[in-house]
Amino acid sequence: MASAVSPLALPVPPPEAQPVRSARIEAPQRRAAGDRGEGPDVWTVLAPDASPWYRAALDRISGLTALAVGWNGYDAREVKADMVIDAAKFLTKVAFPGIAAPSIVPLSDGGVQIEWHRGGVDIEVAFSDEEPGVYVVDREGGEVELPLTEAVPTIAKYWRRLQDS
Amino acid sequence: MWNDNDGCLRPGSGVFKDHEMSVHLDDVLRDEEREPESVLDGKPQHSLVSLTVDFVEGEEQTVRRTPKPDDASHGDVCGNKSRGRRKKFARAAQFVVLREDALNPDELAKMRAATEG
Repeated sequence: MASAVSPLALPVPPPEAQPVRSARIEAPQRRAAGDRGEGPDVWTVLAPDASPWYRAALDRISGLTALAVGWNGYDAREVKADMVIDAAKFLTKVAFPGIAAPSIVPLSDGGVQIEWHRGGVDIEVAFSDEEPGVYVVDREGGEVELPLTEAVPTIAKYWRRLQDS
Repeated sequence: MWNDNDGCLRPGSGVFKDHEMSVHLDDVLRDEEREPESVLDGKPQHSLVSLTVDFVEGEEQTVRRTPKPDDASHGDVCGNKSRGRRKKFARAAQFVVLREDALNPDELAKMRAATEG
């Protein structure tokens, strides 16, 4: 199995970049002979210094793909594999020790939402085809909507307030 | 999900995302002498929250009666639901039925600690 150092890894992470964790992402295993090659490639994200909740969070995200159409009792779509992968990548970048465990929920459009509600701030990161983005309510300073590209910087900005108490 | 800022469980704002959001209308349930729990039949992991019509209409929503063959209480709350509005929905919602089995151990522990405290 080949392995590669993630481009997320910084040679010498400055303190202000602490939430951008290093991680090693292993390439997909080669399929065995006889494997018809159906289904997505499986990537393994190794993050040995991650938060204690990191593994459970990945399991939770992965488990969302088992939800069938209509999982909300109505007409919710299946959770999409690419949304799950994007959410897992995001968690890999921010699951550094000390930060509290987020809540992870499916969205009816097939997306995944990761949320923190603590330290006087509510942060929702939506991985969604229809409405991707970051929504922050700072109870000391109003609310703001940001593009998904700002997800990691947002966690970096608020990481002291997201600490597990 | 547990909300440390509010010290209580709240539904995730994502459940209020749909432009046409399915609901069950309490007046029909009462007319049919049905308990609210009955709308969760076959959904053992689901909980139930309530919102008032006054509240949702105040959020520029329209409540429509859209009965289904197997459920006369079905309705839709229609209208644009921005992220901010969804957040208001989540904070206004009151749990009617809370299925503790669907909570993770951490959420359950926090809820019980808050209740006992």
